[in-house]
Amino acid sequence: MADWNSLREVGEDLTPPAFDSLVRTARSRERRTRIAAVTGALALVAGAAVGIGLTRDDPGPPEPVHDPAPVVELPGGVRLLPDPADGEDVTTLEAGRYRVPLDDVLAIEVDLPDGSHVEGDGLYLSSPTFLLKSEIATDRFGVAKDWCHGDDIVPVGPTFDDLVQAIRTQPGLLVEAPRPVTVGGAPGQYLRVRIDPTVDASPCRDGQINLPGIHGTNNNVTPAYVGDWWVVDAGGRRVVLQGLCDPCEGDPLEFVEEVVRGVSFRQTG
Amino acid sequence: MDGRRGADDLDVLYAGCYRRLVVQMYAICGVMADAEDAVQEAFITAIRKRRTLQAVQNPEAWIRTVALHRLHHGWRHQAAERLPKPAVDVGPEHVALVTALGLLDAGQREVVVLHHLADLSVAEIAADLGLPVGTVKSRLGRGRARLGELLAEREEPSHG
Repeated sequence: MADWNSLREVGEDLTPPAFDSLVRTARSRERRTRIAAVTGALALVAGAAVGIGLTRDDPGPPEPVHDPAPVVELPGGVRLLPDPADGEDVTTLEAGRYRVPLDDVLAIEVDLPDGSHVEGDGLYLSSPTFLLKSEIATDRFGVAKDWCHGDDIVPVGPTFDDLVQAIRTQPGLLVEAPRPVTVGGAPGQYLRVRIDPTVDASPCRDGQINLPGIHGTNNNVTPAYVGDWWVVDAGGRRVVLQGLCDPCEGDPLEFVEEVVRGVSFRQTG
Repeated sequence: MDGRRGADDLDVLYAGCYRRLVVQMYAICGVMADAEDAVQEAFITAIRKRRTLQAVQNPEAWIRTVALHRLHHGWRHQAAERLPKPAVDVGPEHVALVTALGLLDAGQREVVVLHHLADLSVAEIAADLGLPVGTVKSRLGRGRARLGELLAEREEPSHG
């Protein structure tokens, strides 16, 4: 009869790929799905691409559907982000002004249209017309050690100018001259970031370039990426707001600019 | 938010069951490279759906179901159409068994492998595959009988 134990031993000859490589692939797909979904929707809004295909992975086994999370409204009508349902990464929001925590003591408040999505603790806010990433540039924030290969991030210096200068000079990027802005009363610099058209991303992992960020949540993007970066000083904290568009056609970032114009900062602790 | 969050637990699961799951998928699809692809894709899905995975009672079973799903949906599920050529250096006894499995009806093969190689009960297989228990029992019975015939046929010439 069948020798099942002998077949089991075949596994001993296998060499599993490093788990980190699967994590990198998963992260890459998460970023691609987020960005492609928003970019695809933007193209539809602009009437530019009827039937555009969104990059979606096989959803896998069916998962439970959850009721909308209850809304908690603060004085002044600002809402707290609802807790995600068990097992869910993304929560759909009703139209309103929401408080999005950046850490335990600082938050942004932002107007979001009906049907917007929040992912995780608010790192990503999205709708069919924009994708906004908001984070504090802690001392772990940096630029890609190798813009083409690997995920390592080299932390930049501690000052606001260190951060802006590092983003401007990361190899692989083409960054327009920064211009001064104010977001929610916080002074800072606005940067339009593209991928340097002279770089060849084809040998890079997934043909993508690594952006500045925090190790573990920094994004990688295609050569067709266009990003709006607002780097502001909110009471001594360096805050980075990013509008992501990839692959980007036209000027869809106008939508995220409108959202950022309505941002205010709130001390929460 | 952090792609690493929750992944550390999966790291342990990965180290513990990757080889086992690959062998099970290999026995079902007959192609080691496809089996590895399916299991790796299942772990990538697990990493991406780590919150979902935290809520399931048996993460290995969840990952196996995802890997099977990959095999079912166009994942070059060709074991019935071609003789398997294992990528790893396996002995002839393994080839004989996997070849015989490849000659089973796909539904029978899956149930036989899950029962004998993954050590799942009939009830567990029924739950994982979404099949009635009776269907699993009948497939298991017919599949086992057919597998026995195929292996016996293969052994006969060598004893002649």
